Amino acid sequence: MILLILVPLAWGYLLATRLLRESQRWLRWSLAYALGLLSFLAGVNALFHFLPLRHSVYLTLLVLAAGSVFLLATVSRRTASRPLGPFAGPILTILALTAFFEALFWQMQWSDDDFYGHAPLMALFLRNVFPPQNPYFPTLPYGHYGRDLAIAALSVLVGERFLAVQYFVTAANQAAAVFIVHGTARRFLRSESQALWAVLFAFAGVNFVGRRGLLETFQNNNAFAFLFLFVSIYLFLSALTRRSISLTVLGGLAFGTFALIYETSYGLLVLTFAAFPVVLCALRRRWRLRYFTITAGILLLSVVLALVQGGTLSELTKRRLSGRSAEIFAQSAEESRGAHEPKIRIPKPGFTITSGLTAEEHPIWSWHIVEGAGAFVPLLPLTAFLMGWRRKPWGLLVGSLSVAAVLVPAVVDFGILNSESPRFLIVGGVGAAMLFGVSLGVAWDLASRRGKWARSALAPGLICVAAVAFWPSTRVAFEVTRRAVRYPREHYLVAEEWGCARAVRGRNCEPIDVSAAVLLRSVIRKGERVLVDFRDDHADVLMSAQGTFSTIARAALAGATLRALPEGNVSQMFPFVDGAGFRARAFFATGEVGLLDDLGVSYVYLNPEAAAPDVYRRIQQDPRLERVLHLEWPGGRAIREAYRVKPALTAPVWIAPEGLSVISVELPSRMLAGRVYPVRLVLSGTGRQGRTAVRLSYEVRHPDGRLETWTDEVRLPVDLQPAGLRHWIGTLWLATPLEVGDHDVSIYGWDGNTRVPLRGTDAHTAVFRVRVE
Amino acid sequence: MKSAGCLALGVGMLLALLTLPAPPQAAEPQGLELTILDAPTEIPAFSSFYVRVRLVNTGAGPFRGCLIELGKMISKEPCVFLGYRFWKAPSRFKVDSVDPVQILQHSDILGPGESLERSVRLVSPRQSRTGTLHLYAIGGRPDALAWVHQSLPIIVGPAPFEVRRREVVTLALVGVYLLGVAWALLRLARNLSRIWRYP
Repeated sequence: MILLILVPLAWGYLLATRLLRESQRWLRWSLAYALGLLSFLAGVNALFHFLPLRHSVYLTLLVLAAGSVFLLATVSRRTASRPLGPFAGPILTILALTAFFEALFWQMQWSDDDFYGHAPLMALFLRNVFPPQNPYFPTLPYGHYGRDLAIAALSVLVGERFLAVQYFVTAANQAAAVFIVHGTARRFLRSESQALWAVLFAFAGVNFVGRRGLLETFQNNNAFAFLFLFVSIYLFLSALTRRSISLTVLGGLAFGTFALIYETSYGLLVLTFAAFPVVLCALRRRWRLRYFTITAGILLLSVVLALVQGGTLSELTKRRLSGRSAEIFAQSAEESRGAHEPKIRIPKPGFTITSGLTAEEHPIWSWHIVEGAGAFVPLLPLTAFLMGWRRKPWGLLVGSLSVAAVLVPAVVDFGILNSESPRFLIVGGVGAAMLFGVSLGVAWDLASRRGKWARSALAPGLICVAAVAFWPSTRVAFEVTRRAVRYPREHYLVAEEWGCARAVRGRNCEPIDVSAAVLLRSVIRKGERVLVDFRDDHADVLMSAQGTFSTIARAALAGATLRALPEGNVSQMFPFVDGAGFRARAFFATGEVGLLDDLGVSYVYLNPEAAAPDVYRRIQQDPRLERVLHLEWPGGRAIREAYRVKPALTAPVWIAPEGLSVISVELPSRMLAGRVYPVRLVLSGTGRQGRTAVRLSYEVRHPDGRLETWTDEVRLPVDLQPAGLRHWIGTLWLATPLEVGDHDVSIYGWDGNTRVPLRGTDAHTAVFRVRVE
Repeated sequence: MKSAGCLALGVGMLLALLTLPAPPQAAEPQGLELTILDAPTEIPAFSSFYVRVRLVNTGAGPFRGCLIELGKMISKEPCVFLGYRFWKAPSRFKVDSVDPVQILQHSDILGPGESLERSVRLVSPRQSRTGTLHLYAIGGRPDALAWVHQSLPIIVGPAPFEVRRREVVTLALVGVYLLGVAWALLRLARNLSRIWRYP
């Protein structure tokens, strides 16, 4: 089965040799890999809309095999091999090996920071959940997924070990990107040394947002985003120079598929490609219609593909055509903001760039841009001018891309997504670094032409610049390798061994949870959701634990809550999701099964010792909960259990809340954030005798009015006992807000599916203020 | 004079003893009681295992869970955590001299007189050996932590197959990487020398 991976590789190789007629050997093999992977993704994505994943994979392989036979039979090979130079060869080998193994060793030891979003998505693809569904919020749409689908689909050929596939594919992407950057630059700059300097500075010479060059920029979607950005540039320039329809079609299809992987880089390339024919004509001082027609063909094809294939752009088109603002239940501007729907505005007031970490606005000319995009961006006007002066179309294309990447976050106001500016700035930084490298290469070439003495005079300066620029990357690469030598046992390839293995902060789940997730994998079916009882003060740690469980159990989760976003810009570090939402906490504090119906939960997974004894007893005895897992770890008595939630046979009966008013609310003396407490209510006006029950819910708002429970309103039955004439006493379990401070709680009653505000003593809606520590 | 000198020396020594910092040692349990309820006697190397413990707050004030980052105590108020060390008890009673285990969330509170029972996850050492596991409940004000000690005889057997497999695979990958880099460097040196000889 694993040998079937060779099919896309063979297809890619034939494209590179027969259609693209690539003469550089290493570039040919890198393109074979990249185009094979991209074609495989495009095929699987197209078929997955109609067929299960496994069938889509095999059918795609069949189509690629047939295409390979066709290329083999019809297109002849007429390319002579151009080997790498005596310096470039070994240096590129070292760089590519380092790019490969640094990415591999790092991933074997750590997980991506967006692991909790991507890994469950891959796991759900293997359960044929498509179009992609948010693993935590079933009603929220999901954005780009190309990378996750490519990895999940490839893993079908290797026993569905998708995390191991992710490690190797990411590492291979890094190595392939080294050769594609170098090969493209070498072809279009017509200089070995300029190409070498460009690739060295892109991968090892630029430091931005805590990362040292592309060598260290492989987490999440980055390895895919940059590889296919470089492939798109290569195909675009090849199509322009070769004037071939087949290359234009190939370029358009490949570029369109790139939109599925990373729409921001795709958007930047659309801007750059659209402007490039004008730049090229100005450079050559003559108008060529073919520059415009080929560019238009590629862009048109790619846009059509991007708008129909799935992903963010298709989703936006679908919404626009159907006239809906969102597929979620956002009803107000506040809720839209909470759902992280961007409101795009051009131009952005102030011409500033929003910092990703602090969400502060900085003018585009401030030094903060060096933090976000690296030290070479301030030199961009100079290096771009040099590219024009030396008549280097490749340099102008990369320079335009870099300029667009820096200007877009300053010109376009993406609303709450403004702090995603690093997505643009990193591209700008890499482009600027490559131009700086090319500039050094130009200087070296000029010196070489002037003789040995000029070269000898320049060499020490270049060595100094290189030493300063490359030292941080070299040190990190060395450290990653040193850790692999020193701690080989802590480098994992198998997800079940890796998951929750180390007792460190950031992995607050345990090996018993992984074993339970493995056992539950065969129990849980497609579309079913699990409520898990993981607890942590830190939202990121909690999401990491939940993500690991979801990934290994291959199940979507329930119970998370979307936080109310603060006004203004929101930092990337703001924990906008919390795994232990209001309803989830209320369930684990009360055992009230009705909450599970509201959450759409099929299974409950819990640690019995974390539950209060009476709640655990209630869960065990509830006829609607059937225990499907009881796992004991040998020694130490660690236990985990899972319960299937059965549908209710009879609908519970509650009295209508009309006429009810809240006389008084008795709160605990001290309440902590993110907990659940009993609140004693005194109500009047039921018009009934004896004990009865009412269904109540509550909204929690910040003092500034922001609704904290907008996706997560807790509805609970409250038993009412008579307490004097027309007065009843009941206990409402209040899940406290996640942020410390004062909050306002409004109480509602439920008549069937109709929410009715409960009046206070002053005839207005009952609102009481709580303070949590 | 001699006796006065002796007296002065004695007073001086007494003062010195009083003013010198006390040698580090485990403070007497103040407000915490730790009991090991269940634990395995034999575990494989480099693996997770569980020990069930009971922790009682016998003091007058509440404890929160401690916040510890990179071996440093972050908490500013009375808190508690568990720490463990294999084979040799720590000679210095500092946070970074044991492996910390969170038994309470920082936002949780263990009130006076309250107790909790938990199965805590520990990780066994890399090498197999027979000896003692030293388990501590560490609590109190962050500047004056009390260490409550419990020890447990334990046999750490050889690492499981998957751990050894990981080791071999990782080292093999490192070997491939280093060989590749060495080969490229050799080629670079050869090319350089060739260009040097035949420019």
